[in-house]
Amino acid sequence: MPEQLPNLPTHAARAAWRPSRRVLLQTGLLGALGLWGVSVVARGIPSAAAAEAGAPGAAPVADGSDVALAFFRPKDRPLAGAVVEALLDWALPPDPAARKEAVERSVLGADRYFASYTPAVQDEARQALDLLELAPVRWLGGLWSDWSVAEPAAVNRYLEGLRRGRLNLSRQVYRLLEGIATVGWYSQTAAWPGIGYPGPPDVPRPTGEAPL
Amino acid sequence: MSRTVHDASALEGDLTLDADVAVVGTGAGGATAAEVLARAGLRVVILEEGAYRTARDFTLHEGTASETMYYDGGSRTTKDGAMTILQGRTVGGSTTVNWTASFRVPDAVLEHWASAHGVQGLSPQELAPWYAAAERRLHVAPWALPPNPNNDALARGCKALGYEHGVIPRNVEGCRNLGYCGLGCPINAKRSMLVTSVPGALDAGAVLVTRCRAERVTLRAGRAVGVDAVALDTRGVRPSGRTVTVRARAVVASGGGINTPGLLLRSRLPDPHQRLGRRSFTHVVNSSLGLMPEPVDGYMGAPQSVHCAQFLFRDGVGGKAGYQLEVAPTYPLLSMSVLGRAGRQALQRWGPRYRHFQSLIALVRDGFHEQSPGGRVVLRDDGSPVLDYPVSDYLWEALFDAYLRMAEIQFAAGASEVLPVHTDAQPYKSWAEAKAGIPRLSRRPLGPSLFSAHLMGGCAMGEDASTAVVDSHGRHHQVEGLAVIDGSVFPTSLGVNPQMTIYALSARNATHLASSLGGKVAMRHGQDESTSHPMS
Repeated sequence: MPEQLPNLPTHAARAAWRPSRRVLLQTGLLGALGLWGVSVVARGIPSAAAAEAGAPGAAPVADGSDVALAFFRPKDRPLAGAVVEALLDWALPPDPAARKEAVERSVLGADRYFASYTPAVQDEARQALDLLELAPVRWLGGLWSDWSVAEPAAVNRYLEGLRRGRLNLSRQVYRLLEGIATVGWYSQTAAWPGIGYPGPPDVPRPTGEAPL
Repeated sequence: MSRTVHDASALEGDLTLDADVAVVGTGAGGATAAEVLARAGLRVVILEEGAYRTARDFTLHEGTASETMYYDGGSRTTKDGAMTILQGRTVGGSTTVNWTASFRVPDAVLEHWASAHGVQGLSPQELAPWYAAAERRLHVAPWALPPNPNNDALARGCKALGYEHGVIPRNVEGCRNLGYCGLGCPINAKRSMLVTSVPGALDAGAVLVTRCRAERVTLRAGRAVGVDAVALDTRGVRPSGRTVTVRARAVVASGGGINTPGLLLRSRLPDPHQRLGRRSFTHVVNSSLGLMPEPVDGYMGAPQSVHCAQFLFRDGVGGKAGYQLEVAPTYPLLSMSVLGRAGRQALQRWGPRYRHFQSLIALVRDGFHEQSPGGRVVLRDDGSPVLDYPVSDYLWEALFDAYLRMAEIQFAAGASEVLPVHTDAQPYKSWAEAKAGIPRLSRRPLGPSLFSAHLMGGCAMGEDASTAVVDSHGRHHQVEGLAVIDGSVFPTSLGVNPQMTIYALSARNATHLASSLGGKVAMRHGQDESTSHPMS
């Protein structure tokens, strides 16, 4: 018999806040702060936040929404929402209440989409979000306010920095964030009139009892 | 006859099944193999990671289709994130969601396989009857209606520039030219595995288990004797805790590129020459968006009906890398997420003109040169496979030549602006501007947006066990009772969309396997069309 591979990590174990050393090492950005210092910060601060935030899928969540998340943690909502609003401000409804709802629906759309990823890929994406949510990492990209209150213009400057970044990781992180916005919004029928997409045709389906 | 399908996500206990052959995968390779084996009277169990979704589930809503029928929602990537891979994860595999282009491989490729990779018995003449049978079964014919405006732009541009171009054959019957092939055909017009060989295999007695991920091939005394698999949750993503075990006389690995090498790597099979996972190919696709004066509506009408092979063998088989030009449909989520890579400004400026997008793609023929050795499939810590695919200067040269030719063709077809899909590019307003600007774009990873919808290689075939994983019939060189029947056996890429070559080769090799297992092989697969038509 072939040797047994290690057991697949359980979802709960992986959901705990634990930036992989690989991610940290790849992040040359953090070199400026000193890897040791940041590692200590990274391991210290968020454990309480993670406990408070809960694992993905926990419902109801503390921020007033009763929709269970499958990929994001409640703590990711401010970042995800800020990215949607910054990249798509020109496309979202101008009315503040309608805009808030559109952003919220986009975050949930992205959540469903990312939940279809291979578990290991979901873990990597969550680790990237964990990193971005660290204040020192935000500061290094020139974003001074917390994600929950950051101005769209400031967020866009930050995103543009990531997009044009010197490091592969920076450009990869941009694609992740850009995907949250575009996948989240354009999977909504409400987004389609804005680009003139009429939606799919309505066609009669095959009938009958057979599975095909 | 009743069909036996187990949805593993609904299992209340572990499941153990006995069979003559365990087949892993229901795509072009696995479904074909399963049908051939089952019709030969062998007991077949088929394991599929995706769910059993059929025309009635195909809402043509892109978000839902992506989440439920593609690996990683259609965003599977290579290890460094630089290439985005479109690969099906559903019953029928990628054939359920492909764009229906149905080519035979150019003769020069098969001749190269024989001379450079020790492949035997696969000359163009020997493979021709297998292609013919598959083409009959799947109703392959050159698209007879006029191309949609997206494809017509490619034809128009080529014509203006004197580039050779042709009509793409498609595997459809009763097609209503809807254009949503990539989200599952809602009227069963596409002759995918979902409506041909999967029901064909089930009607011949094969048992299908869905939402079930094969973890490893089990061995006894150096012989493959089954498959250990895990049941998945309803999303088809995480193990549910139940297991599925198949005990069999033989195992057929048909998970396609990345997944088949991944399964064999997890199985820790003997690999004395370190060939497994290597020589993985992708057709390294890049793309160019044009903005046309009139609406193109590239999400409507047959997605791919025109191709340009002018640059495919521009320097012979072993010379500079060549590429085939085709178009990609402009479904909204795909188009806007790709546009977003050029930044917020591009989104805001081009987004409102979405209906005018014209989308060209170049498929680079990889694997024919020492500087194009392909990528390598490796396992992550949790055992899931990932493709490491570095892009060499040799391939960059082809990709940048393709950016130029695509822009030239789009301007010749009347585009007002052209945007090479590249992080650093801004739209060009004329061919002269593009010609000057494109060579200056960076070649760093995640600069150019690269794609693949064609995973090939990783378990290369050939008669020499020191260079190949399997022989020319797909039989594993080291492990008795194990065959690989899918596109992962190709020793190079093809230069054209691979589904027909996978069908033809798989039918041939499965027929051979069926005979060796004592099955009754009466006729060439595909010659009997009377059964298993979905509409009958």
